[in-house]
Amino acid sequence: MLSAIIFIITSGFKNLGAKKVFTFASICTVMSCSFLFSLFFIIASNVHSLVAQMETTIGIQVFFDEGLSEEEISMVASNFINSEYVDRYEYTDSASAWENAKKQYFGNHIELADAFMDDNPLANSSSYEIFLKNINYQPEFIDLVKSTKGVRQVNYSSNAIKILRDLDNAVSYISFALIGILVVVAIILISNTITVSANARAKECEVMRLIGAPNYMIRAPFVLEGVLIGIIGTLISLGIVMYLYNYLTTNIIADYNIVLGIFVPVDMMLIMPVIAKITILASAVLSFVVSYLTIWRHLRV
Amino acid sequence: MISFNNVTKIYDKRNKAVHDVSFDIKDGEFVFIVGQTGSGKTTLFKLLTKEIEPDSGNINVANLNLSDIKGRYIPKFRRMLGVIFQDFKLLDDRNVYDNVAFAQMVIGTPRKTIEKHVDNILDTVNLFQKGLKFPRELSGGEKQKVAIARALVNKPKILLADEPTGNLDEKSTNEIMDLLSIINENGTTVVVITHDLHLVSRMNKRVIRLKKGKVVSDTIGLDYELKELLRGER
Repeated sequence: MLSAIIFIITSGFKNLGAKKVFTFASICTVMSCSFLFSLFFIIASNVHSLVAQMETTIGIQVFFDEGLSEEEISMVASNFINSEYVDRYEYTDSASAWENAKKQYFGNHIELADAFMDDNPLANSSSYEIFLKNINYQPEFIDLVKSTKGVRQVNYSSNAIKILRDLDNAVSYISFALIGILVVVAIILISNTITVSANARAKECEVMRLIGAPNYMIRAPFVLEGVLIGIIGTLISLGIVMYLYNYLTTNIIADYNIVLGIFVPVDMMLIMPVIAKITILASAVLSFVVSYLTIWRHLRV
Repeated sequence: MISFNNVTKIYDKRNKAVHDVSFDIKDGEFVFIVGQTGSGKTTLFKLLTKEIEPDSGNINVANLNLSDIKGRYIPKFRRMLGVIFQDFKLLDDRNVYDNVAFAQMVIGTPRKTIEKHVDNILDTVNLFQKGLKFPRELSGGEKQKVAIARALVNKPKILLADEPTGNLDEKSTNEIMDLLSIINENGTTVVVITHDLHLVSRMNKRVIRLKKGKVVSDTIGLDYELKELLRGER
């Protein structure tokens, strides 16, 4: 049994080196496939992460009719702050709103605000800032708030998140389409490589068949060759992706952090194990199935 | 050991490759199967190795009805046969030792057993000293000896030789035939497919003659018609 395993392994590796151009082309295709998958997976994960970050940081601000007392505001707000859509909320009364505004607009020259004396220009600006459990609830929740008597104005940002969600979907569609095309190319190239390999070793296979070698001994080296192509291509692409992602997150994103604002990229150590598991497993299974079917069709044993 | 009972194989309707062929070969016999090109010799060889199936009739080898052998048991059946060819079918990228060891490796024989068996068989065919040579460094006769060693290393019950001397000079032909005789004397059934009547005449063994897919004679030595044909050639 041991000599059979050694034979299969040595033959599998020998096949790889026997037709270098085909092997190289196949490895490159698997590598591109795996690289693109990783790239789009990273983009999709980061867009998801960005949307999630925005969902927790962008709230809906609700202002109330002029002249309502604190108690009345609280009564009006109770119609929607207890809704199942709400994750948390913060109440800012008009005095606090004015204090915040002074800090924000006058900065170090806060004495300029003295011109307003005791007059609070934001007297009717008590507000609730509400954060939803999921941004998808936003349309229904906005309808609910707007239809509540006593609500004067609702401020919310629909565009930024919509754009990100659209981007998220677009990335998913494009990546599925591209990966689909590359998978087909990889299947054709791996299959061709195995066919060429089988033709190059036709005499050896014929001798094996007539000597009485079991079918798996004849087929296994070709299947192993296919699996090796898949795994080698994937490992190379994973190395490249890891290097690039690390470079991007530690250098470029750090440098442009001011522009990017709140964006925190997904940690490489969180994302890479997932990508590695998916790509290695997928490439091993795909190349196994392709090479097995090719050799099964090609070699009558 | 080998029994053909009314075996017919048709590739196309007008051409019956083998037609109603019957013969028996006993355990330990040395038999030539002769015939001109297109007489059905190669089809017979392929039927024996179960590369193709007969359209009708039965083939029995070592008490096994070949029609009953299911796909995954075919390799085990083939281990009872040793096969050699006119073009040797040696692996050019392996030396003599590895070419012979290959036959054992692919059936999962342990490494130590392989070493012992290969050394013994190379000694038997007088090629022990050339174990590290590659096929390109050997003469035609030596290549065929390596092929014989490879065919015998798994200790088959039957040795099938398809035109084994077709590419050899007279001296090498005689060496190979002597070797096949020794193998036969040691108990292995030997079946040689050839169209070389001079060779068959010299050996004076049982000869089954095929013509247009049918057995036309089964004699010791050449039949009358072949003797006349040979005499005419001389």
